[in-house]
Order: sequence, then C-alpha cells, then structure tokens
Amino acid sequence: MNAPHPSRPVARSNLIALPSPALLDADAVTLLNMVQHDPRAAAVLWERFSRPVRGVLQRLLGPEASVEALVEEVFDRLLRRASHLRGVRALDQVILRIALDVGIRELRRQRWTEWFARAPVASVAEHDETRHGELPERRLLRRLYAALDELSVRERVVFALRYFERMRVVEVAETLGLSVQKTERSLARATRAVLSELEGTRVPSAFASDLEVLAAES
Amino acid sequence: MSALETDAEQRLVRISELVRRQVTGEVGEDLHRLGKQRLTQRVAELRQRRPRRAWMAVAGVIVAGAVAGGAYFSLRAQKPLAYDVLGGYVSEGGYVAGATLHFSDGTQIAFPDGGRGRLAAVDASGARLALESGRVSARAERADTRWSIDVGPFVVHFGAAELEVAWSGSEGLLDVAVRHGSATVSGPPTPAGLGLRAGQRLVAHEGHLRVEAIDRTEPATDGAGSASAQSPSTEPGAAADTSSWPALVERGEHQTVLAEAEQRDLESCYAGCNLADLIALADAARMVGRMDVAQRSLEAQRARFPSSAEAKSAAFLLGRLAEDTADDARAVEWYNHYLREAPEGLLAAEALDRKMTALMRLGRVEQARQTAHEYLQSFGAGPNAARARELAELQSP
Repeated sequence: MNAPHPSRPVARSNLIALPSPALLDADAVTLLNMVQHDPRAAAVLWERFSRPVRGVLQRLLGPEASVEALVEEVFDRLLRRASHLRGVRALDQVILRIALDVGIRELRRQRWTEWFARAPVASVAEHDETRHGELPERRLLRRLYAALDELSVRERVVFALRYFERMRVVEVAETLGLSVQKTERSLARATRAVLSELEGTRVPSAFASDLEVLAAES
Repeated sequence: MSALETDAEQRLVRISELVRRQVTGEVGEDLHRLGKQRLTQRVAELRQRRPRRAWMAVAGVIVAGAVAGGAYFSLRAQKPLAYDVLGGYVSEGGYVAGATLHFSDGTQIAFPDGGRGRLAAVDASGARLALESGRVSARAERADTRWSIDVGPFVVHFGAAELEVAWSGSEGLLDVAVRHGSATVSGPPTPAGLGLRAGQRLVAHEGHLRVEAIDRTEPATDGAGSASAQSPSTEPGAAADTSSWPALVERGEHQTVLAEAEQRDLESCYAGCNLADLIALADAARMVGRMDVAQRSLEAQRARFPSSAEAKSAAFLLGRLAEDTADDARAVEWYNHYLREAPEGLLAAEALDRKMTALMRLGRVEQARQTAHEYLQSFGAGPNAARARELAELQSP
C-alpha cells in the first residue's frame, strides 16, 4: 500500500464566540480577569464596550473618520494590560483613558500627515460652501469639525470631553492628567474658536424642543 | 454668568447634543460581529503564544537535548504502523471515503455512512487523520499510541479510547462522544484543550461549547466504535434550524420561546427537553422576567444533566434568582453548591462575593467574615478584594 500524503489540512476558524448567560452577568473587571481563561469573556467585553468606545472615537475624530481599527486597538491594549488591572474598580474609566490615548495618537498622526503632505486631513471635507440639498445638521457638523481641526490636539480633546461626552471640567482634568486651570484655559480657547466658526449658524429647529430642555437642565 | 455667556453655553449644549445624536459610532451588525470575531481570535492566539514565551528557556534545553539524541533515535527509528482497508475507498493521496482502517496495533478507525476524510500521516505511535464531513468512529486500545483527528478548526487527540466524532462543515457543528478512555479537544474556543472522559459528549457550535452526558440508550453503530446518535438539537443539521430555541434566544425572540414551551407543556419540557433547549428556555425566561420558568429549567438542567458544565453554572444562576426574589438564605445554599462543584470555576470569585453579601444581609456576620477570608485567600487581587478585606477585618460583635 502506498504511504498517505503527509500534508495536513489547514485549520481555519470562522466561529464567533457566544457568551453564556453567566458571562453576560459578570461585572467588567471579572470579565477582564476571565479573558485569560475563557476567550468568550472577550466577546462579552466587546459587546459591552465596543459601541461606547466607537462613539467616543468617532465624536473625537469626526463623523467621516474611519475608527474601526482604532476600536480594535483599544481592546488589544486593554487585554494586554489585563494582568495589571485586577484591582481596578471602574474599568469604564480605564477603557475611556485608553480610547483617548488611541484617539490622541491618531489626531497627532493626522497632523503630521497633513504637515508632510501639505494638505489637510479634514474631519469633514470642504466645509465652506453649502452643498446642494444638504441637511442643515450635516452642514453644522461639517463646520463644527472644521473648527475643531484648527484647534490644538489638547484643546480639541478637552472640548470633546466637556461637550460631547458631557464631563465636568474637573473630570476632564482628571482624565487627561491636567490641572483644572490648564483645562479651563484650553476649554475657553476651544469654545471661543468653535463659537466664532459657527457664528450665524442656527441649530436645526427639528432638535430645538429637546435641546431647550437639555439646556435648561444644564 | 452674563446673558451672553448663558446664550453661548446653551448654544454649545445644543450643538453637542446634535453631535451625540448624529455621531453615535453605530455600525452595521456585520462590522460589529467581525470586530468581535477578530478580537476573540486574537485572544485565542495570545493564549496559545503565552506559554511558548514563558517556556522558551525550557524549550531551548529540550531542543538541545533532542538534537543531541537525534542521531541515536534516527538509528532506532521505528517503522510506521501498517494498515488494511475494509470497504469504501482510500486514494493514494490518503483520501478516505466510507472505509474502515485496521491498523497493525489493533486500532480501528471507520468512516461509516459515506463519511469522508483524509489519512494525513502515519508513524510508529499512531496517525493523524482529518474528517471533512460526516462521522468517524475510532477504537484504539494501546495507551502508548497517539491519535488525532482534525475536524474543521478543532483537533481531537486521544490514546486508548473509543469515541465518535461528527462534523458538519456547513454549519460549523462538532460533536464528540467518548465511550471509553478519554480525549482532548482543542480549537479556537478552547485553545488549551478541553478534556473529555468516558460517558461525556462535547457539542461545539459557533464558539459555544456544551459538555453533557451521553445518553446510554443510544444505539450502537457498525464500524470501529459506537453510534453518535444524537438528540434532535445536536444533529449537525438541527442546530442550523433557525426556529430552534437556542437560535430564537440568540435573536432575542424570548417571548416566542416561552410561548412555544407553554404550548408544548412546560412540565413535559422540564422532563423531556434536551439540554440545549432547557438552557435556551431558562435564558428566555430570565430575559422576560418569568423567574418561575427560569428556576424550573435550571433545576431540570441540574437534575437531568448533573455532570454537565451547565449544571454547575445553573447552581450559580439559581443563586442569582434567589437573590432577585430576596431569598438570601436560598441564594447562599446555591452559591455553596456552585463553590463545592466548581471551586476553581470561572464564577467562583463572583459566587464567593455574592455569598458574602447575602450572608451580611442575613445578619450572619461571622459566616460572612469567614467567606471574606476565603475570598481573599483565593482571589486576593480580585475585583472585590477591598470589600472582602473590609469585611474580614470587622470586629466580632
């Protein structure tokens, strides 16, 4: 009898982990500890935190930015640090901090790319003219992110945390490791620049009723 | 604050609310699932790599030893096992269809009912096979032999054992039933390998692993081993049934599962449903707040499938249910069950923590302190260590 062919089949996986109800119930830090024993815990962490992380990065970098690879990087960094985070209570704060690190690095990378290429890497391109048929809120977003593109990275991050993520100034300062005074100065500069850019632009009326309430609450 | 500043602040609040509404970071479900899949795969790869780094020095010594002894062993190289083919077909390339292989050490490996696979390699201590579709049954009697079967992304390793392996590539469904001896199954959801003992069956589908007892009433088949007769929910085709309860739960259609269970008669389901359906029913019931049904389903899992991993988890979940109904004494009992059955289980830390808290609510402070000490002993760096430490240091009343 002839000897069989020695090659072996290629094993590839297209499986998606399904967490058990027990994993779904576990708190975030327990999940992080579990990852080393059960990869399904990583899937639960993804379910729980990927959307908020994606939201933070998207709002920081702009609606046109491609953030999926950055979201995955946030989780990679989190898992690499898992063994150092066992005593951590507020994992969401740790994840936010990692997401901001990744976002800030991306902003800096864009600035360098822009500098070398002598061409802007706009968050929302061509913001000057009104595009035919464009919804008013899209136009407002374009102008807003165009204004943010003109800020320093720190000013932009401070502004995004204060207004987009609704953090208090003290919390922004703590999150970024800045003094409160420095944070306030950055915020003031960013706010002036944004308001100046958006001067004369009206917030679309479709949102006005809800926003009036929000404004009143704040 | 001046009126001008207030106006500016309000304007910024409005704008930020617009940003939060318009820039949510939501992506399509496909992209979301792809990200999750990539993450779990990276985690599995990291877990596989980690031991290699840790043992690199040891591996170096072993490699050096192997090189030094290589000449000796090459002189004594043993001849590969010989084999005969009964029925079916084996090509020169090692492709097998519907055949039974009889190896010279007495091992028999059969691909019954048109099962297809490949004999990838044979050496003196065993062989490596691949199952492409259908079933393979194996009976190896010598403990000093090593056999492995590649099945999709999984590899089943065994020595002296009798087992059956079924694989549906289109559904990604693996079923391994060990009749005698033991086997280890490794794959993406269990890179370190999951050990199976005689009388246990592993069903793996879409990363979800389920170990249950083999139904002893299952009929035997021809070929090397026994049958892989399966309950309806564990057949390769059945799991793909989009109307199955696990599939409905996965899609969030919890009410449908409850309605079907009630139509079928809940009592008969507790007594007769297979494990997958009981798990799905318990999950669906918890999700829609039918705690009575959830409790009975979990109790049925424990009563009817006591050796399964799910039965242990069910004890923990029963503890959670008892807590939800403010029955702390019952919760403590269930957590004790879980901790006895799975002292090193994934939920052990949480079970100890919850037990500790429930005991405090019951006013059983001394027992709570003792549990806190147990927690600190096993999970001194755990997420609730601070609370446990605080409790452990409480003065006795």
